Amino acid sequence: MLVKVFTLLLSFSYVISDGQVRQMVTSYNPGCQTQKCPECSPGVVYVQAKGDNDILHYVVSALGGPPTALVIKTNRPKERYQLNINCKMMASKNDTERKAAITLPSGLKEIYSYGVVFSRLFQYNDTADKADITAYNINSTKWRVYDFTEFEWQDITTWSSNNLIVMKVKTSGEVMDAAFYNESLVLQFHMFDHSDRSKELPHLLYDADSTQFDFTLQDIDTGNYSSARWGLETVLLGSDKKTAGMHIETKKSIDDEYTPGVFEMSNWLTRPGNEANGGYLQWKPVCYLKPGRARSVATKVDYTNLASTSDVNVDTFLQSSIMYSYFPDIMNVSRSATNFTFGLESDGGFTKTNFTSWTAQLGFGAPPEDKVSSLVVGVISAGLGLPVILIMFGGLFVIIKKKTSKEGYTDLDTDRSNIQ
Amino acid sequence: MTDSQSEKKPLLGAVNEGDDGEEEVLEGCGGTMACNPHRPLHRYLVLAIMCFLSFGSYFCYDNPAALQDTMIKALDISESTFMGFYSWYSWPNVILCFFGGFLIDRVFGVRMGAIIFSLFVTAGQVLFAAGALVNHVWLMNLGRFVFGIGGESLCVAQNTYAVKWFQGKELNMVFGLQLSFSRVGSTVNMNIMQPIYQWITGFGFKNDYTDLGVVLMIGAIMCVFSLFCALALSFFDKRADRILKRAAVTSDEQIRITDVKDFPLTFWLLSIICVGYYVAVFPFIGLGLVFFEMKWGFEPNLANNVNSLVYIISAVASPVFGFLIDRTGRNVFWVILGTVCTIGCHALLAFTFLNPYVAMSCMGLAYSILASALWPIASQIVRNSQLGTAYGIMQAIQNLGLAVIAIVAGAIVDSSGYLILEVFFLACLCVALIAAVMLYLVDASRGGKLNRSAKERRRLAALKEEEEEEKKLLD
Repeated sequence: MLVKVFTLLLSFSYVISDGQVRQMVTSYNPGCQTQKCPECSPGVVYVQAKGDNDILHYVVSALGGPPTALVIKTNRPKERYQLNINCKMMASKNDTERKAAITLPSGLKEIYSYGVVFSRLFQYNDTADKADITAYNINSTKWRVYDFTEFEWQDITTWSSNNLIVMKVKTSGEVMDAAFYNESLVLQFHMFDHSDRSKELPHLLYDADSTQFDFTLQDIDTGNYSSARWGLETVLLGSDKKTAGMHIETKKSIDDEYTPGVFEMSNWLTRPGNEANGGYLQWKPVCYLKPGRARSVATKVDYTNLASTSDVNVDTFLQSSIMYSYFPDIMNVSRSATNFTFGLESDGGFTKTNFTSWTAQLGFGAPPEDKVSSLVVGVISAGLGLPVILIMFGGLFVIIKKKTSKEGYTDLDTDRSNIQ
Repeated sequence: MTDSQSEKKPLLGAVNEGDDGEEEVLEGCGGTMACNPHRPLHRYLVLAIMCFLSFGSYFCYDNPAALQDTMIKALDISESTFMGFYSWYSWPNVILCFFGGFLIDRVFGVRMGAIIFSLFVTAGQVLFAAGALVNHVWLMNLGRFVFGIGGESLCVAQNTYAVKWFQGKELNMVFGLQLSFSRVGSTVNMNIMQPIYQWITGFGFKNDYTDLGVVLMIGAIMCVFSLFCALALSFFDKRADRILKRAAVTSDEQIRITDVKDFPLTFWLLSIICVGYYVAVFPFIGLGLVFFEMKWGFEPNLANNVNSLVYIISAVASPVFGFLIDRTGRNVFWVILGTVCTIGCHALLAFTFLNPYVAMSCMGLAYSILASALWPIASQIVRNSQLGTAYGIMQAIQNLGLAVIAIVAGAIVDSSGYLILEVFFLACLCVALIAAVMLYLVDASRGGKLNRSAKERRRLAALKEEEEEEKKLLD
């Protein structure tokens, strides 16, 4: 009987999680005659996710250097709902051409747009082994700064498929101390057309309005650093005025069912206070030190306080990225930057396993929240309910028995009925 | 002459005449209060010896934990080989302490049994140390196995001794005190083994493992001390038996191993409570360190402090609560209270972010209550002549539960996280609670013997003595 109750509760939870479904159309190097387009190297992927009343347009590319994902939410007119996007213009050296590379046709109105740009990689030698990047300044330890404009990327069409956009770096030249090899850095975006939970740790909940990306560092020559650690400089943009502030909120939860040992979730909101109409970057503060993800190889992910991009000299990288093609007036757009750092004290740093992989989610609307599963509720109610029922009925039974068996006065001094 | 002789013969038969009823006269230091088994002071002094009986065993049990990093480096072994030192102790004991208990009842008696198992403990620790001296891990595993045979059965002997000397008097406090000593032994071990090792390294032995072997031999000295306690206890127990004329086991009371199936339902319910409760405390402490670090963001040192709160508090609180339970009686209610409190503590840890100091302190208190109240109940259920077997069974079931659940708990955390683990522990505690409530109900329907208040027990004991006196007069 209990099994039936459990299965009923479980099936309930499946029904509730049904959300919007979108139709996805993927195209490579739009504006070019062939799919493999050397002029648009390393390649641009354009995905349309068509919903009932709106469309999410994803433009993902490492063109210009910094890997970028741009998301534009528009209405859904009857016809002509494709963006005017030309990758050859995006790759052009001419600024005016670049500015006009991504435009909206008439009839297509933007509701909101947002995106993420990865600008730089910092490598530092964590001599104090505290995994705290803010504890060091430029002089207190050795640093290497790699900015993505120096990287060469493999052709995006090589590894990508309909729901997966994969960007991999190429073996680096002398300009970067030959520290990177093919696939030393992999950034892949998963596209979703429905709601579900990811099959891979950290099992983040996704829906049709979000995309999850995995950022992986592996097989990098860290030279003579005893304990190398990384910082990934990330910029989040939103199509509000530049004065609009962004905010990272970290929520604690009692529930670590889906990510054992992790009790926090962080959301970086482009429109704090109006989440349902803004973009977000969501992650759990955990990354993995081996390709086979498990709790035993997990370590912490931290972030530094949000900074204005002008303060940290990141605006030039934004201008090199494809964001410039959609936001020509990029200096007046709401944006902020942070450094994601990987590792925890005494975990050996990057040098120990030479592998770090982190997953986060970029989406529109209110960020998904984990709920305590029905299994927990079921077990608790059964487990605690039974003794309570037992106590109530048992107590009644004992009282009734005592009342019915009492016959007159018993002299305690001579009462020997209990001696055995 | 015959007339006057027959006149002198009492009509009602001899009661206090002849060697039958003559009180043995204790002379010299044997007659002082401290050595007179009739007096409570003697009981308390024997209690002190009884507590140290398994001190050596508890001290040496956690030697690997105290010297973990040292052992792994000096012997060049992996983490799982290291954990093997604990597995070789616990897995054999799933079955062996049942036989140990039976042997105490049937073959050796508690005096001989305590000495024999103490010898096993000492021999086991010596083998363990010898294995380290010659750097052979197989010998160390053998040593832990032998040590385990002795250690757990020694606990059974200690429990049997406790009931023999303190039933009807301060039994709950005695069990509490024995628990206290086990914690003290473990804590002393954790604190002094490393400094001793550092001291030994100063002697300039060639190899690290030689140092380790020497340190472990020093640990064996504690076991020898416990062996002396066993010998002393045997002497005092035999003497008290003679002076107090405690009845020996008569031939029609011979124990057979098949008697076990006749143990009443209340005994098996007691075993279920024992298992259900202990598996929700000890495996939790084993995994608690990382839980406190991840959920509350504690530093490793702070997390360690919180984790060991249960042990520290129970070391102090067990005898106190034992004394309290002696005064009030009603053991089954105390067991239910302890279980409900622990359920509350786990619920706090699982569903709130309240500072874990609160929950762990309460858990320490609840554990003290339960440990002091639970074990004496067995002495009310089974005959004294079967007590060794009964405690052997309870310990065997407890060890099986702990060994299995430790593995299950690790698997649960790795796959489903700490919330599900806490829910699992809550389920175990609910099983214990259900068993405790059923114990109360079954017992109440059979006369409520197990849950009597202390006043009621004393009254009944006085009435029983009166009856026995009357019986003697009539014979």
